[in-house]
Amino acid sequence: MRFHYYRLLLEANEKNMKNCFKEGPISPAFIAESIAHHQVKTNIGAHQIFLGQVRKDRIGEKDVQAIEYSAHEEMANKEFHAIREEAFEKFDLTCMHIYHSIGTVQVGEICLFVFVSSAHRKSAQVAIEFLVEAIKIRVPVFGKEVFADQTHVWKVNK
Amino acid sequence: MIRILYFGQIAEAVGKSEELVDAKVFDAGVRAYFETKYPVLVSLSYRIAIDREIREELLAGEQPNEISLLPPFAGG
Repeated sequence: MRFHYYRLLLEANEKNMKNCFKEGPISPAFIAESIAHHQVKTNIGAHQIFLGQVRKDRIGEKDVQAIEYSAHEEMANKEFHAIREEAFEKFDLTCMHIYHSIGTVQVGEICLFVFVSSAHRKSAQVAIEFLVEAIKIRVPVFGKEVFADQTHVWKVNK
Repeated sequence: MIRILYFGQIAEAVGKSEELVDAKVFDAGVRAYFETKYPVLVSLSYRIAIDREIREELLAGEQPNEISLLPPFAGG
């Protein structure tokens, strides 16, 4: 009985886990819309947004043209969820959204969108730094940097 | 059977993204099994996740559902 209850809780928790992945690039329109959605939350006084953009790195003689992202999606969503919970515990936040691309993102396009809101600026400022660093280090996302001639190298976070 | 998942550069190196193996193949160690089967892995960097938890070895008698080989993370 007790086990059954525990399992139900666990399943409920997994269902509550958001899917943070979006196929392809994150569009500026989507980001603008997300900002607009917060205008009804009048207890918010500060937003912090981090946008990761695919850089045209020059590697050897070739320029990166796109990054193809792949991930262990279930593990990654579990880790995104854990990072979110930690951030809510550490900082005084009103809300938080994380979106990461999966699939192909061309140079100049957005691949990571982290959005935190709080009553006062300091909490949002420190939270965004924590979130971006944690995402880069802890989430199993992999990146294939593809050149114009379709050859590639594997990206590694520094 | 245990579902083995390979990702990114590791999937590319072993030429597959998934396979099934019997738990007993890991008797001599998890990493040792993979590196004997796919010597190319010896020179590559990766972490092992057992049932979606980063750790190197199975517990005594453990029969996990899934083992993943995760190359260096590159999110963001």
